[in-house]
Amino acid sequence: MRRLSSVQALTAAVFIVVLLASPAAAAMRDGWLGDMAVVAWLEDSTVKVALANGGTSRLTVTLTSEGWDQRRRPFFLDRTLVVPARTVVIEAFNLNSTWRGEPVAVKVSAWDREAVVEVQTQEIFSPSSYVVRSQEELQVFVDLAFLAPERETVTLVVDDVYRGLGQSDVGEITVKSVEGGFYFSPARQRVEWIDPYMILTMQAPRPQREVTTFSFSVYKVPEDARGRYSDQEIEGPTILVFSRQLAYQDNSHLSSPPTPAWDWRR
Amino acid sequence: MKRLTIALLAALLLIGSVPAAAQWESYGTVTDVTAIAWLEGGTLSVALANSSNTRTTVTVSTNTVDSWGRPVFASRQVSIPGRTIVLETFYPGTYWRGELDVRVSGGFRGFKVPVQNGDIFQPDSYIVAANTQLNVRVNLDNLLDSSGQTRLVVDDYYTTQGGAQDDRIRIESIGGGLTQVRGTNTIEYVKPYMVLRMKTPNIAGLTTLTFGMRKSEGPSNWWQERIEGPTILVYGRNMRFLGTSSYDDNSGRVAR
Repeated sequence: MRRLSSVQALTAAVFIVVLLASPAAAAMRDGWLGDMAVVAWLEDSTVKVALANGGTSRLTVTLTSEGWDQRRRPFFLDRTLVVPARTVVIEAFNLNSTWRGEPVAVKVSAWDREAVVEVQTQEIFSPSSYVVRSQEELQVFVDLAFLAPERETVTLVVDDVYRGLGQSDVGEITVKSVEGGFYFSPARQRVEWIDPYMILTMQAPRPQREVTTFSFSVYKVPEDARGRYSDQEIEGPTILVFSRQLAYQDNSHLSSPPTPAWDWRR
Repeated sequence: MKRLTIALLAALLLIGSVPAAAQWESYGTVTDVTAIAWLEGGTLSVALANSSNTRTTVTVSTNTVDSWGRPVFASRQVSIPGRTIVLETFYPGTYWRGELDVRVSGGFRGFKVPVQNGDIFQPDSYIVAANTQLNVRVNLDNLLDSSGQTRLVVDDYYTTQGGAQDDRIRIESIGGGLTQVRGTNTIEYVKPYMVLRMKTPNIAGLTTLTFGMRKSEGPSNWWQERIEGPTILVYGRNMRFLGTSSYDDNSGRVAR
């Protein structure tokens, strides 16, 4: 066996240290615990987590907040739940009042393994749903206001296809409409500005296994780039797709914020 | 008593001279000559319209100087036949900054002519015949602010110098912005624009036409900015437009 040079050994050591030191930074947008896929997203101040167990046995998992607020408290309280076999479960967590928009990640732990999943936000991409059945149509609203500062110097290119976990989890992305800009309002007799947006449509794949995830990207291509996409990639949302054989159980209503008591002012 | 009389005479002279001074600096018609000016690229065009029946001679000059202290274009004396519009073209030097100053003077009178630069409003033509359609393209890109809550209200009617025959302004089309390149997943930015359409007044002589719009930003409308539109020269059947002058025609240029 060839001996590693000192530079190679140092590089490898630094790489391992970086990986171990920042698990939150290394959070993926989808997590896998065996046959179970996990995605998480933010709706106002509620974190929603979808757990799709494509296996034939139930799985007990614990969901914890990865990271803390400024007072070293978790953003939400831990929860342990049993995900039945061949079932998709949606759980909701209300972020505590000290959350100030920091990035949030969810740690999903089973008895033998764990995964850290980034909570997706809807600053640019707002899909009609983060969890879809196989072959269902999905619409993604894209807020194009982020292009405003450099609108004259860049072109936006959307991936022609999305790609999933499996080889065949590929599907076409269509730009359904691009809207916004200056509009004439005949009723008010004035010209108004509407923030630009576009709507992408795609049909969810038929997963090779019971569950899969897919994603796509858009690229800001500078006018002088001449076909090079360089570092201008903007990652799209990660969507969880489950086959029609799986049951769907939305428990998010079970964790709605408590109603204040009638005499809460006293 | 003598001093008081002199003081009173001086005061009367001052009062009498104020309107004249204001007229000297005003933009419009002085001694039957109306002028408008506009800049397209590096070319300055000055349209001079003489609405009287007799020929008149005016001088077009500038107070704007280049970095060497010289006028950016040489003054030119133009003789304008009666009931005629003459278009003079100048090529100002490139080494000047700020607003370009153009003055038209004849005899003891003169006036400053504002130079329209076409940054926002781009009419089909600055000199149009009466009772015809006029399109004005409005570049909306320069009016877009960062708040993303821009609202524009275009004047319902244009106004003319006499104010007698004002007509409605119609928004013909609005376009541009982020648009999809046909058949691809590519989105590109086209500068937003608006086309305004109006019918010029049905007059026999000469007038100028103008309009404007109001821009407001933010959620409330309490603050509005007035954006003045272009000034267009409209001529009727009793006037003739000679077009761009050249040295060998009868445009009226006088060698100095």
